[in-house]
Amino acid sequence: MGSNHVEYKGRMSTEVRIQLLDLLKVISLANLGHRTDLKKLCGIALELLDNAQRYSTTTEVGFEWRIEGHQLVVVIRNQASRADAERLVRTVEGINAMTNEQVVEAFKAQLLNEGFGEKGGAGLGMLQIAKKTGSRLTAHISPTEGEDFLCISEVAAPLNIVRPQP
Amino acid sequence: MTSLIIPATRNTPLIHFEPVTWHFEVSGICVPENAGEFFDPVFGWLAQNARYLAPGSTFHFHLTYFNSTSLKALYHVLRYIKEANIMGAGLLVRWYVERDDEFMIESVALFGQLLELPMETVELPGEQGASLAG
Repeated sequence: MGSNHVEYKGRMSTEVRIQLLDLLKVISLANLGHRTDLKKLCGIALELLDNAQRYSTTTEVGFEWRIEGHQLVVVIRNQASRADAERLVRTVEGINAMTNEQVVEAFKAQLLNEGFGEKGGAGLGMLQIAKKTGSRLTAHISPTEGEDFLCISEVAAPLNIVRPQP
Repeated sequence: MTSLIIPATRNTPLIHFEPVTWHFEVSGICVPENAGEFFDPVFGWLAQNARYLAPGSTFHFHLTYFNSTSLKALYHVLRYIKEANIMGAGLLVRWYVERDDEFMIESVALFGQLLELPMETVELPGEQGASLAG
């Protein structure tokens, strides 16, 4: 399995997000070969990029994609308000405390819920990552010089394990 | 009954609902930042018109990728179709999926399971080298 490392630091926009998604698809195909879960792997990056674009209080983000042996690691860094940063940590801690079955049930409950967040989120991104890839999620936040918080979210997804679907 | 046409963009799909020619299509990539906002006119159109469409009208979904906020929106699009069918509309749903696309195959299965809505799946050759954005 080929290893690779992609890093981006700079402005996040819809076009950057789309181009990164396409680039990651090509890179993962080149390094991992033909496999049926390529979009799921790229989806991890997309969900983190979506969150960064949706909740970031600046346009600057840091993004990292690494394939190391049998593991894909995706890291996103962005600034967010205290409320959004603390919610991120609560969400990740909550998901990490769930069993596989609880993740599936929480995902379904959130999907059936009609509402979208005021910033357009569906509350499904982290749950979807956990459900579809069996990934370990981490989130760290720390105050910046201003009122915002630096958020670092990381997903480490085993490349040879996929959570069983319900 | 009016048609609903929303042209595709780099991050949103074509929506083409044309009752006169029985053409109902959602196609392309679907990764808007705010899917609730993007799909709002679609929800409105379906709420107003779905039950009055000609029986046998088929909604064609050919999406290359969608994000989780769009997953929720698509679920609600399908729910409008199901609700119209409960009132006797007789609408059909057809999904086009690449045979090597586990993400799309599982997503369609999830919709079918949650909604108990019969959906035809049309398998296409794999296109892993193709751009997601088309």
